[in-house]
Amino acid sequence: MNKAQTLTRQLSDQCIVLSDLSKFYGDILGVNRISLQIEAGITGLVGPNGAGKSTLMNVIAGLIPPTRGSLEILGVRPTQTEKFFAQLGYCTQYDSFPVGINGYDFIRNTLLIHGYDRSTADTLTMQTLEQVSLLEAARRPVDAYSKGMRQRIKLAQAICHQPEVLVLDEPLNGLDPMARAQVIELFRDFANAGKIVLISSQILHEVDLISDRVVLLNSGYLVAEGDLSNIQSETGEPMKVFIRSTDANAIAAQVFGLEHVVEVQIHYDGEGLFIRTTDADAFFLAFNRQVIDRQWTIESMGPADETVEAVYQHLISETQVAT
Amino acid sequence: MSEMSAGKLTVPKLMPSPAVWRRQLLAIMRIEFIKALFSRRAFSCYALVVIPIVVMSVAAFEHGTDGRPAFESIENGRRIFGYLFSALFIGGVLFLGNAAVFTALFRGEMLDRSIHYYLLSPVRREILIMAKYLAGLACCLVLFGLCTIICFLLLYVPFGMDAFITDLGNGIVTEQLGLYLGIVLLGSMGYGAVFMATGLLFRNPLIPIIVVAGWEMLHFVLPPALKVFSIIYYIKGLLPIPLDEGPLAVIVAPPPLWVSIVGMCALSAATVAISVLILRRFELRYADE
Repeated sequence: MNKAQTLTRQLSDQCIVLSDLSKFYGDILGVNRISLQIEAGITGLVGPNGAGKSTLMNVIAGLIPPTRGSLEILGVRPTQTEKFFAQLGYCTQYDSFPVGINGYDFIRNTLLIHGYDRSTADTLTMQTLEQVSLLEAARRPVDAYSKGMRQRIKLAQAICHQPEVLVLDEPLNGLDPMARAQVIELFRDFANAGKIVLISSQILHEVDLISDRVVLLNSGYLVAEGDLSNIQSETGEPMKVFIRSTDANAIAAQVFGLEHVVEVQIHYDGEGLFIRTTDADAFFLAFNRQVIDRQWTIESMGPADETVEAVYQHLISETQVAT
Repeated sequence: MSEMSAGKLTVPKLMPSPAVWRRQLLAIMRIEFIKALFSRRAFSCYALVVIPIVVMSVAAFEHGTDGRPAFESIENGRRIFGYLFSALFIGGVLFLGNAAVFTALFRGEMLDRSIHYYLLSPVRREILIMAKYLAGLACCLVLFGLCTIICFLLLYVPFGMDAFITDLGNGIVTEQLGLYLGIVLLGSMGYGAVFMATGLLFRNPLIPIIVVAGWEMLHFVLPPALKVFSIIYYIKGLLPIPLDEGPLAVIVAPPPLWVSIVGMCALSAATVAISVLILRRFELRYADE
């Protein structure tokens, strides 16, 4: 193995690597020819119903084998059951539990099945239940839990063995705003500890807030992936910039003449403006020169629509036009 | 939510080792044993084991017009018990009870949508299969073994404790009860392995249960080469009473005891191994259930 191959191998040992992965249910397409490398940090998997999110999640979690292509998590294939599942935590979208079980036993049994001895399993169970704020409800049957509590006990089940990779299918469903914020903080802790967190959600603005990177799926195909601003510039979607300035009118008059500016709107208070540009880099370069030359006062400036939703809508509409 | 961060948990990394495998096996066995014995699905098994106990109780407490026990003599009683065990217990209670317990091991969890918790665990598939199988076996031994013991003891009710102590002294009780319990063990091993595999393979296990029942009922007309794939062929050879005459007669000679034991173990092991292969290729699709 040469140096480049060794380096590639080392990198793939720290990532989720999907190579030309497809999953078909008979004639029905689940996902098709997905090649991805998901690194440490939080990655959001985004797409509408039927985009293939859950199929991809289940393939990554080893619950369904791919029809074609391969999958490795930290260099381990799903067929290596013990190593694969020891480093993976999966919070499924299935809202079902072993009949009659209480929260404590649910987590403890999971740890015992992993192979922990009883005393370690007891300690870890308490710690995990505390982490998801379910200590008080630990002895109540899971069937009697509220939707939010059930979501949290599933999360506890996924994290109790402290996996290196956390795969979460719609993990924020049913959580109240406070619980959402706390769960998101927990994901951030995992990501900050150098772990891989993969989250699927239909709530785009939340994915936006949480994710370091996004993977956009539509109709089983990978539409785009990577850092959101990079996707935006690569896809050529007009970017909306908001500038707060007392010189708003003067700025509007000048920037409208720039080649890549397609739209300018003055804010209703007259002290701000929205600019839509097809080339953000070129715009910022030209704009900075003008600010220095004309001595404009700029209070703040930033993207006004750098959201997953905006990018996603743009990409979807492009796909629909193409077809 | 607690202030505790994810990094504060100190989880010892588990390396695959015989000690871990043993803990996993025992943990799954314990969970499955409790589930098999105390879940709602176990009620059908309880109903099944009550039937022979009721039948034996009626026979034990029944007296003729002359005041003599319905069994007439202890020898006759043991023969009647043998027929009852062969027809009602093996063909009905043991068969259906095993079907209920073992098909639920996987199919029941698929219906409850909880099998993914096992499939997401770092457990070798062979350990998962073995643990569930042994738990099912233990459950059947408890239920059907106890039922057999109770029914056998009821046989002595009309004849009193003296007859029981005499037979115990002669070794008849231990020998015959041992053989009946052996049948329960071997039958559960065989039927259990088959029904666990059908529970993994078929969405509706009722059809394969009917097919297996038909195969077992017709085993006496099967050629010898196929007869070895019949569970009843092995276990009826263990019956402590001759069944070479009457409506329940075994048409061909039963195999020797060692063939019954070795054959049943081999058949069960092969079927369990098939289950491991099925589980390794298993694809979870709850939407189909």
